[in-house]
Amino acid sequence: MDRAAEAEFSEFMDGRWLQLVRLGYVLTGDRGLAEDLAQTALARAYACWPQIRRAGDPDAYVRRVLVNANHTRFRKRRVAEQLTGTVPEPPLVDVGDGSDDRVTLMAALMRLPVGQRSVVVLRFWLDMTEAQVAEALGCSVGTVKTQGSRALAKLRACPGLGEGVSRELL
Amino acid sequence: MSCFDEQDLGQRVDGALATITSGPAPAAAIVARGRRIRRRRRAARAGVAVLIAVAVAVPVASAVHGALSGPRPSLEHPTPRPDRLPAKMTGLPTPTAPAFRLLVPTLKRVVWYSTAARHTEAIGGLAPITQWTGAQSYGFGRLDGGWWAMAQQAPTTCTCGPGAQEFYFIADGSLTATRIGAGYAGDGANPASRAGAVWLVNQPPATAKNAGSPRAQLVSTAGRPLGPRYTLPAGYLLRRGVGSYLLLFQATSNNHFLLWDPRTGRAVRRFGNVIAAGPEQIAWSAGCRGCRVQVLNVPTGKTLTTPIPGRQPANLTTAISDDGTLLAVQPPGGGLSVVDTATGALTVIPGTALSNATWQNFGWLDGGHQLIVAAGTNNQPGSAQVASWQPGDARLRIATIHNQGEIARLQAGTIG
Repeated sequence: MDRAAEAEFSEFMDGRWLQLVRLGYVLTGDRGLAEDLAQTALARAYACWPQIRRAGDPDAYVRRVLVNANHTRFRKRRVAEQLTGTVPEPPLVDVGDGSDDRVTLMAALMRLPVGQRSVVVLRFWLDMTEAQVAEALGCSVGTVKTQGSRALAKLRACPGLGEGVSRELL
Repeated sequence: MSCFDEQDLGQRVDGALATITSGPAPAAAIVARGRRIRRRRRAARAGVAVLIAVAVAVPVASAVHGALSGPRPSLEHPTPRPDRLPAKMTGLPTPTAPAFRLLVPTLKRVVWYSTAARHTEAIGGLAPITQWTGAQSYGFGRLDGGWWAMAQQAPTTCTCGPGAQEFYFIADGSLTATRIGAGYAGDGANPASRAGAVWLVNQPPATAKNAGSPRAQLVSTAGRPLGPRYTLPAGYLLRRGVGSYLLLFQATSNNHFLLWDPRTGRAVRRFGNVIAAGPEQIAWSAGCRGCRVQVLNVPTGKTLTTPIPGRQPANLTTAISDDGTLLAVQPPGGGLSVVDTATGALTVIPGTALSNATWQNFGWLDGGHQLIVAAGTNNQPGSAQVASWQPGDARLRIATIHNQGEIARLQAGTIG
């Protein structure tokens, strides 16, 4: 890779780092994992930066890599899961107070399956269209719609999420 | 009523993430990881390119080599055209043919023909043929230490039951046959896994309660009962006793085989296309492009697989020694091979693949470990070859004979 391309990638990396870490965080709920995912996405982008640059949409590429890396991590973790004889204590979520909406929101997101969580984050946080989400996740638009609909239904059912919202639906 | 608004969701996530901050991107680590990924991808691409090159180059080189050097001799899958094969076996010439006896049916009796003495000796004790129906007057099958013989009488001649014929035992070299008993024509006498015994199968009379269910009994070669009588599974013909007490059957309608426990009346195992069976061995060759023989050792339960030359596993001609340890196989248009059923080792006997204008006849001398092969040219009775082979021999020992009577007997007789 020539110096110009190196410089261009360096600029891209600095500009997207925080955004990618946040995307990783909202997908995983873990800051360490989020930074690791962001690094993975950027490293893979570096490995084929000339081609990505020619394609013209490096943001879409790194987002897709990050989301897929998270899915892969999740699958690997599930395979490596150890079965125990006792049921682990479910985490306590403070939904009664309502004073910390951020905690409630993140807890609700973390309770979603990884596929539904990815759809919600890409569709509503990054304001991507359904077609863009489908492309980023490597699935059909129909799947995006289905996953999004199920995710929203679950979020609606979460009692702490309604408070502080200015507009009501239904 | 729900108070959740997905339109606000993005802003609320934004707000939740506002507290998530991070330092500058670890540029050095990311670039180092990126370079490693790039190196791995290049290596993978190079590996794939090498594989593709090998996959393309090997068949091309093989084709070019084949075109330059002519037909490549292959033990695995020789595919010579039958009309291009030689008409004579090749090997070590010997002045005299190996001495052995042939069991030869004549119109009304059975004789031994001795290749050493070049004369025939009649075998006594057999039912005379009064009204034979088949191409031969007697049918033969190998038993341990000798042969069963069945007089192929017209149905009205034998009064021994429905579809039954008289079965006899002829010990190797003996001039007197002993009567085993009346048995069903399809599978009346069958080898047992112990010497001096025969599985005799017959059908109950049509008026009997169990009419239609064949019965089998282990008897001596003189017909003396040695065990209980078992009712056999319908739709199968007995082929032989295997192991201590099991029986091997062949379906009457197809080429499926059944290993059956007479004590429980249950099938132990099923096979397709059994080509030979010994006292403890069952050899079969399933349909496949390459040809292979699988041998089950019944007492140990172990199976050995041996690839053999040829492409057609069906229609193999076989001969198995009495102890079941040596199995001679010959595919159509192919040469002879011998499988050691104890080890799975294969010995290809060179010079035995002959053109389709020849006849070939082979068997184990007295059921032992010496293979006798006779061959000649169809419709050209000038001469014939008699060859012998035993384990350890690299080639056949071949004698040429010109006696027309002997050639006819070699062609029609049963070697053993």
